[in-house]
Amino acid sequence: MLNDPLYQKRLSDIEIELKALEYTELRVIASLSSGATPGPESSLLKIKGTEIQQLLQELRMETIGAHSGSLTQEDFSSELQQFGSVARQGYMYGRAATIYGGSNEVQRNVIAKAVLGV
Amino acid sequence: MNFEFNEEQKMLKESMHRWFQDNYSFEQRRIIADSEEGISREHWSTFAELGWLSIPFSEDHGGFGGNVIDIAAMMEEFGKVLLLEPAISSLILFGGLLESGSNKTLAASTIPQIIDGSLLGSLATYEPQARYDLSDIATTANADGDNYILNGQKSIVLGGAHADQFIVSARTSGGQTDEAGISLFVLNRDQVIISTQRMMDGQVVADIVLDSVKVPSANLVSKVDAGYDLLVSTLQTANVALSAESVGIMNVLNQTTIEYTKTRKQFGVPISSFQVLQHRMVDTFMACEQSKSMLYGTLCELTDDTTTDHERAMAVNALRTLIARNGKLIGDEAIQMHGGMGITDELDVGHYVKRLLMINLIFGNGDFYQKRYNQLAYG
Repeated sequence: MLNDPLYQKRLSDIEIELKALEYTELRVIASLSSGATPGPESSLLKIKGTEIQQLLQELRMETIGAHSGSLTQEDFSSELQQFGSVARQGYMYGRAATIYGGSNEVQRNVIAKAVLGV
Repeated sequence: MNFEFNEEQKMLKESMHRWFQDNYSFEQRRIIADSEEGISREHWSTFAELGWLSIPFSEDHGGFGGNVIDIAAMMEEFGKVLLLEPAISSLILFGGLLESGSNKTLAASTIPQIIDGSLLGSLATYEPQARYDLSDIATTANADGDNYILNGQKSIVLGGAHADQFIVSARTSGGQTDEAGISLFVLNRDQVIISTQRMMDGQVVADIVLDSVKVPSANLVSKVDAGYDLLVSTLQTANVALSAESVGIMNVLNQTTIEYTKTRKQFGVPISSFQVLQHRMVDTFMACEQSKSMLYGTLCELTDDTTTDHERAMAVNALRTLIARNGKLIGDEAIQMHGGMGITDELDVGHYVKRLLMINLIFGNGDFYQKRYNQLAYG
């Protein structure tokens, strides 16, 4: 699968965004350690972090294919069944990430007001 | 670098910003862009006096001894004003190749002239059939005693319209796309046949024909057949420079768009009060911040001695990929939120967008760099 150009593209789309997010976090930490208090940039971290998380959960489910539909929760009959079930649970639970903690729409309102001043 | 420029770099950026405020407004820039050469040699001399042209060069050659972070600090400011003068072609490419090449005599005699502003240089390497492939070189250089005879053609040569000298890549051995067998030569302007064209970003570039050009072997930038690695490493620096320029442009576009939506009224209220536009401006804000983070993170990696060549290549490919994607989003949204006037010649917005578009077309587009990243990561 890793030799499939389309799969590679989806994986690196996520990997590159994640790398940038890691650096954004380090920038925030660097500014905190020089005495600043956490500001609206934490909204950016929440939005990007949860969006990337969901992309990754979606890709994981598709990677394992139809096995991801399995509702089996314990006594897995195969490794595939286990991977699939875990991927499905992660994906489903992961939908909450853009909703809780102030939905990503609310976070966008926060940045619009506090950072962009609109 | 701790994800922030140091005091010296901040001072440099501040002094550039002040100079540009007085001398490089959009209207002042337009006059330069409309001139025949498309650059101001007077400004270039001033940059030399201000010491800007010395930044990428070693102290041995009278330079400031700056690293890739100093270059990025400078390029961010150049991006903010859409600088037309040939920083990439003359300083980073032409000067950078001489600085890292093994021909120290040539470097010692040429680099001081770049620094004092009297000599403009350019790199002529891409050929019409090659697209972005640096190893696809059909131009030939055949040994003839102590000379080489060059034949071939080069296209879209950045800074080529006004360069006094060119570094030209040519094949001294091997097949057309072999990485080995490429050599780099310094040529004078009067040795080549030049035709110029104006690009959408205001740059005047050149197509070049080499018709039995005789070059002494003393003009080899590096050892015979060993030019490819030098090209790759110099292009890596140029790609970071272009990314820094892009970050400068993204900042301006987002700022301009926010200001515009605050003043433009529709249905009796500023359009910035519409949530649908607010959320889109937040997305472009995040795209700019992510790009900036990736740039600064890459600069940290590149200046860390423990980073391997493989990691360096991956970092720069990832950077260029992200900059291409985010540049497109920010450019498209800036035009959309400005309405039709976003692409008029009168407004600066369209010019910033066109430069971002052009950056994504030179040396490689987003797909090209992502494919290279994928090869390094998963290949």
